[in-house]
Amino acid sequence: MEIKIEGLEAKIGDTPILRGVDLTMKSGEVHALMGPNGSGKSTLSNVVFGHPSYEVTGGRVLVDGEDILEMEPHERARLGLFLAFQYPVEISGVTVGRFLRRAVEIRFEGQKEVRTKGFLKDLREAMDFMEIDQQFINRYLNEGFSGGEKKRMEILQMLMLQPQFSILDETDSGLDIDALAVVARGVNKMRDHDFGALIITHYQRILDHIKPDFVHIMYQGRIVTSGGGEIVTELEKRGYDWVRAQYGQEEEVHE
Amino acid sequence: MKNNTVGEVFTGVDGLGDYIASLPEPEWLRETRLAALERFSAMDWPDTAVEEWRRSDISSYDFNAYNMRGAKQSAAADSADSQVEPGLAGRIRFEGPDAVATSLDPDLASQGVIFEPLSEFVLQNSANHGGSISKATRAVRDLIMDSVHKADNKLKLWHYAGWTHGVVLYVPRFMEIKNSFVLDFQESGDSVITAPQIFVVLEEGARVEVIQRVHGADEGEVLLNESVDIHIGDGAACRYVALHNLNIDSSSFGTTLARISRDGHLHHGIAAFGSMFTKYRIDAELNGPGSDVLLDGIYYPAEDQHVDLRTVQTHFAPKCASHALYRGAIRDEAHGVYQGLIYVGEEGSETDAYLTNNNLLLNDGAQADSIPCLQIHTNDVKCSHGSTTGKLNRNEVFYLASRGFSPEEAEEILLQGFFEPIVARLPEALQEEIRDLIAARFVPVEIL
Repeated sequence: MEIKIEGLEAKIGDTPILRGVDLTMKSGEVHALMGPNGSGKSTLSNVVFGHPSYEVTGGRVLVDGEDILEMEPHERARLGLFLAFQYPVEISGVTVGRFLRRAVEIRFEGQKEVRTKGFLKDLREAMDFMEIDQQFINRYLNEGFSGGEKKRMEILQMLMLQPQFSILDETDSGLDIDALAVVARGVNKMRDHDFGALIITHYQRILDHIKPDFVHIMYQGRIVTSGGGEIVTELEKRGYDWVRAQYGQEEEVHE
Repeated sequence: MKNNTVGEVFTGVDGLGDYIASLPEPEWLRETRLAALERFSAMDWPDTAVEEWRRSDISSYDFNAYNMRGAKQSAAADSADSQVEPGLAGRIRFEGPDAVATSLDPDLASQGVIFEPLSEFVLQNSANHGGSISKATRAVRDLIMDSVHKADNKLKLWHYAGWTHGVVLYVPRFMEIKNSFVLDFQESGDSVITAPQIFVVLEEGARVEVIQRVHGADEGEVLLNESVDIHIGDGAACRYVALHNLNIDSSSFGTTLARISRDGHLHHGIAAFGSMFTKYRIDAELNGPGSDVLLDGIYYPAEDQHVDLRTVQTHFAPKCASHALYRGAIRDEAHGVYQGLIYVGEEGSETDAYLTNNNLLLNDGAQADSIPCLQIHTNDVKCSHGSTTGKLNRNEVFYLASRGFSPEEAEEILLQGFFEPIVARLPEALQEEIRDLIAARFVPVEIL
């Protein structure tokens, strides 16, 4: 799968947030998107998935050559895209088991039949791998979960849904070092030629666990520089002030 | 006493006196009807000047335009030997006021459990039976007199003067009954009053579950005015769950009053789906220390249905707990009203009480009123209430969409999920039925 973002512009209300984002990513690649708070990173993930709060004012998002911006969010998901949310919502009254069962059915519709026994076996294995207690199968999705539990639940969903490309929106934020390691393990398990990821993060910490092939820095609604792991080292040394000084413009952008 | 006047029809409130005179009932029972009639005659219909009725205007009803008749006793007698279905403790099925099938697990009957139509119970406990009245009869009489005494509106008194049929469930001391008792009411006819009266009497340490279904024919206007009286003895436990689903031309009025003794427990549930107009009140009186109650409610009015449910958690003793959780989804031009009162008397120290009401408005034009109220007359209590009224959450729909769920399916899942914490703790036999009723009302609003 190839995702090609071309000149993407979007606003929320009257405030422009994305001001011409260009980014090409393929299955088999792991990209990191970094940048200071308010630079538009989370907006990018929401716009790619079609969140109704954002209005696209320009550009295209091509998935294997097809513009997805006219598609409904669920149609985009059904292409094999996955979004791990920064703040996963609580879905009261819907158990993890029932939700995932149906999500897996939708994901593999027409490809393979989802049988209860096999599904539960896969789910239990994935939960073990993500160090999530089996009792969570019967809990309502994310309701009363700790921040770390919610993030692990996002990665569990990703493991079950086997997307071709996944955007992880600040999955690392708020996690302690052990939880971070578990989350990273889940992402690394997915890594192969048929899976790509965009890891959105404010910190370099998670990139010690998931080595990105490409690193992009976003600032004021644009990707201002791209490169390899050396950019992370640069950021670690000099902080975001360096980005601000080098690429900053007059206007302020709010996320 | 007159002879049994099977099937004689009386009209409206004006026919009440003649109706009572026609019934082949023992003196003790007739006296309760007459006591209710006396208070009834002296009272005005509740109007919107009274807070409890402020949002439910009944001034357009012509209560003389409905007909009523008492139960045919022969019908019940013919069917008294029906076999009990596996997994049930007993079942009584009414068509209109007539009990058409009655069953009771013979083991339970032999241990003193009484489960029968009121008409039969009354015959067996008439004064002709040697003058002495049984413990069960005394309990039933006390419940009626208590309710007549406490009744604060004319509709309730109308019921106690003119109830048409009903059930007695009496459970002796320390009988723990795992299987459920089922009450099926099938209403039909046009301009018909149906006024069932249900008694549940649990002696000390008894445990039961009662499932009540009120269904109606697809057409015809029925006016239901029911009352449920529950007595829960020391350490006894009762689960009573009612599903109301009369047709859209009908009206439902009713009250449930549960008296709970020391260490007793009640789990009451009501799911209100049917009727153009519903006004129902559930009273739980915690009369003994250590007793507790859980009140669950589900309502989902659509079109121009009006549903007004009121719960009252009354703490008359220390160390009692009461929780109410009522959830309503309101569609089209419908109107949902929930009024919840927590009353803690001077004796109610160490009370733990809360009530929660959540409403989902599914479109503009749907209306919800949520009126929680606390009246606390002592210190050292933990009481709170919370109420929310909102729309389906767009972020939740988006989240599900990001997992491939269509907006329609996402909304349906969220609606089911909204009710599910309540549905999941109701009797299993009702869960699928209620989920199906919720599903049947679903219309996507496409908020994404």
